[in-house]
Amino acid sequence: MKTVASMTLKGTAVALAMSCVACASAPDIPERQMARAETSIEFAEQNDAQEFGPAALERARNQLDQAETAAANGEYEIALRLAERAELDAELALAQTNHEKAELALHEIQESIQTLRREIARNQSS
Amino acid sequence: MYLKNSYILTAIAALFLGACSSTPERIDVLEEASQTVAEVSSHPDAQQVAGDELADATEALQNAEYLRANNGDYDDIYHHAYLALRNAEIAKERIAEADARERIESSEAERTRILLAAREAEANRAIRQAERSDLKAELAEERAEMAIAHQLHLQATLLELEAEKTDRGYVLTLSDILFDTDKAVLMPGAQKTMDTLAEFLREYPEHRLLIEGHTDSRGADAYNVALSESRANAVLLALIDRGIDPGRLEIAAMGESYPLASNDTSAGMQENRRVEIIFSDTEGNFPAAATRTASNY
Repeated sequence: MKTVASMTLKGTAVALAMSCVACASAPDIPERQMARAETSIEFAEQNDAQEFGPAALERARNQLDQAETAAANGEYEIALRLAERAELDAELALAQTNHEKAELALHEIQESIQTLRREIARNQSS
Repeated sequence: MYLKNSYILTAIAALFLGACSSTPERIDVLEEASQTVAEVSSHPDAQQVAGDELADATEALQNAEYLRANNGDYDDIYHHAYLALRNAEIAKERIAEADARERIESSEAERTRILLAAREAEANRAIRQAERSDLKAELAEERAEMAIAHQLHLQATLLELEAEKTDRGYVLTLSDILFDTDKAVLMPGAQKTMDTLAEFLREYPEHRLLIEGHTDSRGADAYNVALSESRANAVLLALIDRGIDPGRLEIAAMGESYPLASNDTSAGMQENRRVEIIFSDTEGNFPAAATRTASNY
């Protein structure tokens, strides 16, 4: 009960904060969040996300670009949100990549089992 | 106390939001987020594998729904719904990855099991093969023993016939007294020997007989050769009468050419008047020394 209450409270706080910024600009450029998004994108790229999670990676890049534009225009709150979304999309691209790589490894080992079975069957018949 | 406070705050927030903008009827990303979060939360492994992402998604979804319920700004709702959706999607990928990794582990275990089973089968096959060759060796040994037993029995039978082992193989000598003087008729006392010989030939179907007639030196050579042939022939006929295949029997008329003793005494001459029966080997062949040339014939 306490959790729900605190969540509602949190939600309320967020709503308040949002509504405040919606009406007025944040004071600073969200450098930290933008740097986090960039790092996440780079990390995803290094781990083959371009191959295994291209859509999410593309969304991450686009939103980071937009965040930079917004920041340049002084729209810091918008820049912050875009950077947050860019970071999550980069993380999603990485998660998709890790998942896909695991599936490939699974497929490989299943193939090797099939090959093994065939070889054994051949040895037994000969 | 908490609850009460939050209600008041909610009310205040609602007032603020209401002042800012209006909300569209339906927000796609919120619908999608709501569905995905529900789907992920219902997964039994969600808490263990992607607890953080699921918590973030749930919280963002609650924020979005709260704003939506209170006519929050579209951008705000969209942003929180977006965060909820992406977090839920990340959680989904983590769960799927964990599932794949689990299957990799069990597949590896399966492969190990298959390899071990194959190795065991290979070992068993080797053992069976070894057992088979042991069995083969045993059979061969048994057969060899049987061959020896057969040989011993053969020798015993030949000795029973009073055949003698010579450089011409086993030779059975039928003495003069088994024939009428100057005649080629077997005496009744020879019938038992013929029975035994026939029995032997039936028992050892691979063996053949060489029947040689011999005489002493009295009388003309031609007469002696003819007499020796007649006597050998009498033995041949006696065996054919007992059902022996003539193809297994050979006769030779030796006349007086191969005396056993001196023809100067009557005892020696009697010894020279005889029929010799030579036994072939198991192939039906006679020892090289067995075949003599029938002289004057």
